[in-house]
Amino acid sequence: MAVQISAVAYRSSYRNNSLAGRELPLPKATSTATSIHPCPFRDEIVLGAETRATGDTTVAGTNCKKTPRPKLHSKIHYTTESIRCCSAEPAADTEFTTAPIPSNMEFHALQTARKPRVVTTTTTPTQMLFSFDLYFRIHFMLFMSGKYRHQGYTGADLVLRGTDSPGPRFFTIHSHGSSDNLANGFRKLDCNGCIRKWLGTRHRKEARNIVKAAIAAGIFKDLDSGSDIEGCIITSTHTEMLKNVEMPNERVQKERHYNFRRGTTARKKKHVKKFAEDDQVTLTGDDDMDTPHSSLAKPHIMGTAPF
Amino acid sequence: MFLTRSEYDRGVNTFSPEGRLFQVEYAIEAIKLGSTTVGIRTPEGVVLGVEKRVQSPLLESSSIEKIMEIDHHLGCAMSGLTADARTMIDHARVTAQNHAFTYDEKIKVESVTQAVCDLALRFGESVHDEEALMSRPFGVALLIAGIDELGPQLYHTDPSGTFVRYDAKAIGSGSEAAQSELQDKWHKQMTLREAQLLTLSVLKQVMEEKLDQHNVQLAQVTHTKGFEILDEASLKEVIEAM
Amino acid sequence: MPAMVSSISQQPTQQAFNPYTENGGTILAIAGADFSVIAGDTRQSEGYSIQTRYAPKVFKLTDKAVLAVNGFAADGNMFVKKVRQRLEWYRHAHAKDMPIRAIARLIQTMLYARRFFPYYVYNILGGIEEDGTGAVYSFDPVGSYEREACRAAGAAQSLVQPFLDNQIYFKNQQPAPGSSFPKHLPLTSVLPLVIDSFTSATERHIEVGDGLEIYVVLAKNSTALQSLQSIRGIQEVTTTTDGERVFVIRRDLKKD
Repeated sequence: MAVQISAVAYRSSYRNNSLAGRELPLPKATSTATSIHPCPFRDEIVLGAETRATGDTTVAGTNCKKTPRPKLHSKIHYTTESIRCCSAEPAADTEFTTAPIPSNMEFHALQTARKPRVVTTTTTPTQMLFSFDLYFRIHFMLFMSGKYRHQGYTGADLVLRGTDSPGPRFFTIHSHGSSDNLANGFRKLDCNGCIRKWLGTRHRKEARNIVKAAIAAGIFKDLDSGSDIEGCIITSTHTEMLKNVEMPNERVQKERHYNFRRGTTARKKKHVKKFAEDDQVTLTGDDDMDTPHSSLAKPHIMGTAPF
Repeated sequence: MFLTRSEYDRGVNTFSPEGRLFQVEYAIEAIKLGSTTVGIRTPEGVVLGVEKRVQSPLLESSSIEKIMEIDHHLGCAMSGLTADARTMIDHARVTAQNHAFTYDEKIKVESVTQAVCDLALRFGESVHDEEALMSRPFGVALLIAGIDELGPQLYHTDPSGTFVRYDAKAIGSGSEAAQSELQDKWHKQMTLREAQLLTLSVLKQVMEEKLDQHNVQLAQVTHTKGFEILDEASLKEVIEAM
Repeated sequence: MPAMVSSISQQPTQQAFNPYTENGGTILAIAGADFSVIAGDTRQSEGYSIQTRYAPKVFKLTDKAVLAVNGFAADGNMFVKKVRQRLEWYRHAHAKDMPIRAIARLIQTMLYARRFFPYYVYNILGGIEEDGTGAVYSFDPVGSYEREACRAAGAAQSLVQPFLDNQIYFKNQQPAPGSSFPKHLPLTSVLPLVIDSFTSATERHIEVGDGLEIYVVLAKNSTALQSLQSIRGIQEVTTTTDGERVFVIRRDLKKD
């Protein structure tokens, strides 16, 4: 059988699983936590997400806005002007699963001369996730007599939301590749509790409040979620990003300043290696302080404290 | 069946109609047959002294053991049935060691005395159908000397399980005379040396034989050295100083 | 009933019950020359859920000893209950409060008594020694213990302990030429370090937060008393009139 060429290398997975069995597990991936929640009203949608990223029990990031590449760390991924994709679980997986969608949709739009529909958008991640899965199935059928436990290996859970010709649409895509036409927040019961209020929402403000309440519930009740609420409002023509809708968890002022005196770090030895011969310098000035030393003089290291 | 008066002294745990436990009272009487034992407390430490009755010239006097160590900071002198004291001192030693093990500190003098007295009352006690561990009260009284965070202390225990703290106490056959002598001579600021001399002079007065380093034994508990039994040389030195 | 008959090919299944759980949170204690500070956050969690935002992990045992327990909360609460019972028994038997050194040893014997079904708790004991010095004792779940100047334990131990090593023991710091680092820090320096430890742990650890309880134990006539006057919301919890004094300071931590 020919080795399937893929963007993702799975050849190591057999080894990795074998190592995991010997208590040498893979390093934990950073997770983009998990409170994301949509709410439709009339022909628009309000989407919300919190901004915490975690690696196991460590808070890996608190607010996307503060990172140098804000888009990359956001949980709300651009898909088309009127479609956004919310993601949860391993950051790298969600980034790479969602990354090709915008260009695919743009191609699709150009080719069909129509605005892509949300259901179309689901195909890229669905097929991508499923093909990863399928590869696994074959892989393990060959070597491990058909164990299916590695389905969903790529841990991306996505919620696609957007408006298209039939109106507001939500799809959830599971890590195995299956998708549902559903409306819900992800994984978090705290968020889902708020969805009951959704029925019959007619006003943008009310929808915003429901989303805010749902995300806030996730932030405060779920340890994996935290920091700020971000969101967006998707209409049929454009999307309005609402960065930091609310920031209920600002860092508090520290009691002390932690500055260190220059020379605090011990220096065990000093070694200067010259990579180039010093230029021969002819003395011209009369100020001793500015006189550069010749190559024979003691080397002087920049940044060395004079003690 | 109505028990006659004299029959109330048969059971160890039967009160007489007057509210007396005769076996306990008889046990206390047994102590009055024992050799005289003296304890004196001073701010520097506690001195214990006993008379050894050397009944035969063939008896090795050094084999008579009437003062024993309980812990580094605790000592004990006895009068009465000295064999009974072994059980009590064993119990005291275990209690002291357990305390040190569990709390990383020296047990208090009062606490170890309390533990010994708890044991003193366990005669006649049986668990379910098993035989009682002890069939009669102990026939011995102890003078427990020690130093803890409250300073040097001297306790007296008797077979009834009662314990009392004393500045100076004499027990045994010559205890009455000895106690009144102690009452006259003891004072608050006594030095350890004075206490040693007083112990010996009190013993000397109540002993039938002439006092020497073979028929008395002295021990002390001090802040610096803890419990120690004076060796023959130092004992002789004190006797000569009398 | 043929359905009930197991076939020969059926593998034996092993059933297991794990009696332990981990409830997050962090505790720390720092000893000064004549005081001791014992602190813990008040969040109790299991998995990714918060069970309660206020479950104290720091307990006053006597007027000179405070115990912080972290790990499995049910074990921790029961352990504190048992320690308190032993302290009461000791008080009755020996007519005094147990010295902190003795409490430390007692905790060791109590923990080791359960060597093969341990209390799943990390203990830190803080208070005043018989000689009037501030003391911190730290324990592992089976009773290994040590007297130290400072110790952090719990979920954010790996975040807080290096910070304390640097700020209390001055690890990885060279003193200025001709000077040396102090052996003990004053209370005015220690309290901000404790608060900063917890606000920082809250920022970076998902199981730390909600509330902070700081117990301060002062030795008899401690000079640190003065600096406590100005502290917001401080509350005295001493029970006797002379001797050591115990105070508690409560602060909010982030709740996300």
